[in-house]
Amino acid sequence: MANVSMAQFHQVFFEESLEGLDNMETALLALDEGGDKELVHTIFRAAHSIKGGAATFGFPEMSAFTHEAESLLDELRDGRRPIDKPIIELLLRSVDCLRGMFARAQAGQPLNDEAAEALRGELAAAMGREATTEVKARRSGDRADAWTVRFRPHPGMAASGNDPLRLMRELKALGEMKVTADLDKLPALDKLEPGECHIGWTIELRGQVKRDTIKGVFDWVEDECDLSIEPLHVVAPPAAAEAPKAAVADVATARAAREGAPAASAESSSVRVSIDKIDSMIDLVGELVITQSMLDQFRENFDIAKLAMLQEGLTQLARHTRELQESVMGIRMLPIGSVFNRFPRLVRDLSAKLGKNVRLDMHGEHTELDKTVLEKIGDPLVHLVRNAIDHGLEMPDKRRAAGKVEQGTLRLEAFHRGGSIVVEVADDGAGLNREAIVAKAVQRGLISSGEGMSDEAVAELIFQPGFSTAAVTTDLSGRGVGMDVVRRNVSDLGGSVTIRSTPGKGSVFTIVLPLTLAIIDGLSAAVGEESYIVPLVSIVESVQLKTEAIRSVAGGGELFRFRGEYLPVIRLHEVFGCAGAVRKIEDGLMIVVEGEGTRVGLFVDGLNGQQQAVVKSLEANYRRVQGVSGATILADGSVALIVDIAGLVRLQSRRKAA
Amino acid sequence: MAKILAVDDSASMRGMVAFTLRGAGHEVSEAENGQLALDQAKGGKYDLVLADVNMPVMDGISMVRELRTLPEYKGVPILMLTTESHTDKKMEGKAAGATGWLVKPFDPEQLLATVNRVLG
Amino acid sequence: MGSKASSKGKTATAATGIVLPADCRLGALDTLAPQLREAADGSAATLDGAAVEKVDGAAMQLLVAFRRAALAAGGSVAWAGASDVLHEAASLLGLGAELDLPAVRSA
Repeated sequence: MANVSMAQFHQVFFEESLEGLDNMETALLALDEGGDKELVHTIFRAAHSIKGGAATFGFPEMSAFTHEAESLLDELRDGRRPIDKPIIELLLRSVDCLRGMFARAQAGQPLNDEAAEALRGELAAAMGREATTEVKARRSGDRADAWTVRFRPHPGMAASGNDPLRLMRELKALGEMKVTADLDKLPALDKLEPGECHIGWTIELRGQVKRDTIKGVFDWVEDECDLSIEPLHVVAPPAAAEAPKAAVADVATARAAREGAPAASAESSSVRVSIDKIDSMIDLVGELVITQSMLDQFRENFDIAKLAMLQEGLTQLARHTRELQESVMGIRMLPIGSVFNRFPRLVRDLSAKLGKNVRLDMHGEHTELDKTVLEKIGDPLVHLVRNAIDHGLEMPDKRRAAGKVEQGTLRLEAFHRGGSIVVEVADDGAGLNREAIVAKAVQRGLISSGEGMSDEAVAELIFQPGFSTAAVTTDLSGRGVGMDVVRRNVSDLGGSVTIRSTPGKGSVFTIVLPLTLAIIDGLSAAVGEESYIVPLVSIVESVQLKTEAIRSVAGGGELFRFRGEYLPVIRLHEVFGCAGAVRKIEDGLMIVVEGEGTRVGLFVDGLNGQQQAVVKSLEANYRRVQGVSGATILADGSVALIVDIAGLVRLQSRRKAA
Repeated sequence: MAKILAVDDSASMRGMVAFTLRGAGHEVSEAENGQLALDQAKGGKYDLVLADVNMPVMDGISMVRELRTLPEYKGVPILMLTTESHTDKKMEGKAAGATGWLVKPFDPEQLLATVNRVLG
Repeated sequence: MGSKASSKGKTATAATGIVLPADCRLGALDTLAPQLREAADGSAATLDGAAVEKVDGAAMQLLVAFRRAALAAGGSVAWAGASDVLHEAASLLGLGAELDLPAVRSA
């Protein structure tokens, strides 16, 4: 029963501990950069929690390991030991080691391995001693069959919640008891402060009781009373081995408990939601209930004079419903910071290993992503970051020779764009080497020659399956894993990866991810009989053009001039094959939108107005459609497609290339 | 059955404590730091408060100190959930007005035994 | 908190009746102590402890101090009733004789 009840908290324990380890790592790295010494407290607290939880939930090895780390942190906290690079390094490795232990715990495997044992030894050695064994032999007490206990509480004892009556009751449970109260120090009634203890007791306790057992009754009040425990009759000394044996048994029981709890490995997915989010939802539900009851009164007696009130009520209802919907959707959304967190460490270790000087610049950690997307974006990002440090950024001397600062910059940034989340991994390195890529692609048989290929097309080659293989990647970029895998992982999430590279200036990898389950703000545009939702954030402007403003170009394309540049026209009715749509430019409307850094004009019949759209996945319900990111249901019950601007732009450039 | 307030920033620890005590028929409220616990304690009188020592926002020791200034928490048992390696914390907790402590790790049986001990 | 203590005040026969609350612990003593101080004026006081469900050492100590004060002032203290809880507490604290609880049962 106890085991079953414990197992249900294992997953929560794992999650909070891994989060704690992330915090430890972040704080350690900040310390490394000369951060505030107060960070030690944060680190200590995380270690302390893990230690306590590990012991409680039956992971003694983990608890023992954390104990050493915690002791070291304690010394740092008290200033008994300086915080230096080797110590931080050691603690960072401990964080890794604990992560490994958690992974094994979740998989139901034995926690300790040689590396963990060795590291535990290192931690202890850093404190100038051997690793302690948590199993402590309790000092065994004398035995007697009768005791005299003299107990006089200090006046303040009861105020701390230690009631003498409770202590007496506990003693009574140990044996036959004769109590004498000493009232000599009891003040007169008018002088007596009722919260203070002024009575002392002499207790004769008869029973086969150890001194320690009696002392145990008073363990919380040791400092708050005068206590003496004297034997009335002494008996033979006790068997000494008893206590350690019990402790060993405890460890064994704990292990059995863990092994007998398969629930630990059966990973159940959960989301930790901030109380604020829940509170705001509760508030909204409250508002909804009020509005609903307000509307309810119109059911019975409605006359036209109350129309304004009814309308007001409906408006409120709409607002609250929308807000509640957003909040509920928001539960699945988590900040990308939890993924970004691992990069300071990665960048630090990797650049040190390669002898490069890299500064990591992170932005938009608070950008929220759907939990599912978040969990799967980590690996592709790690790959891109490694790739940027390994291949993108140059060695310091090379940078100097090229007239750049020695320190390379790696920028990691997340932000919203349209109905999407954009994550960029940018470096200010050498950029893609066109010749090398072409040579390699030829060698791999992907192309016959690079002649006539645009830079974009060459850059695209790195995403081709078979472009990178184990033979050409260094061990740092991940053996045999190429950009094709990154692209596949991202497109599994319904996203896309592109690269922009400038020779000598660096490369930018752009991952565009969908906000599954998101609500987007859009403009509803009419095209023939249908409506399309254009995400508001992609819209630059909408303009009405005269037919003369359009220039036809060879190959059937159309361009128009907008703020000094020529933009291609995408006629939505053509893309989606809508019947009965406006064809004459001056009868319709041109919506200037921006996607993937490119501006185009979307030609539609007209606008129906702004609208919030709950994105329903087309893929889940139908299949992926080029140029469409999802569908939504309009107020009248009809379905409108949500235009995927980036997709349309790609479609357009492909048509141009063809 | 008693009204108990369980305070710990670790959701698993809090969950375990609450689950065990509820199983024994107690009415348990939870708080994830000292400040929230204090607000909650002011709202309704608890028969027993169990509090972790190390917590963000307000630690357990400051919480006990604050709690003891409230007349309705005079003499009400407050137990610190602490680890053996920190005897000084136990003493600090006591000095702040804690009744006693429960040493982590503890299992549900130990928890119940201690709770029954203070509830009498 | 919400103690059921009710001061009946002095009756015509100059006797004071004090009913001890069900929760007769530290938290209730700020209310109880002034009543007891007032009653320890040499009159004939009656304590009703029949309703006591919870009691602690501090309350028992207060009762002892009260009884001593009342007797010293030439008054008397009689018990109108005492619950099992009260009996048990007096016995555990070695205060049975001092409080002179009605010897209904042997504790």
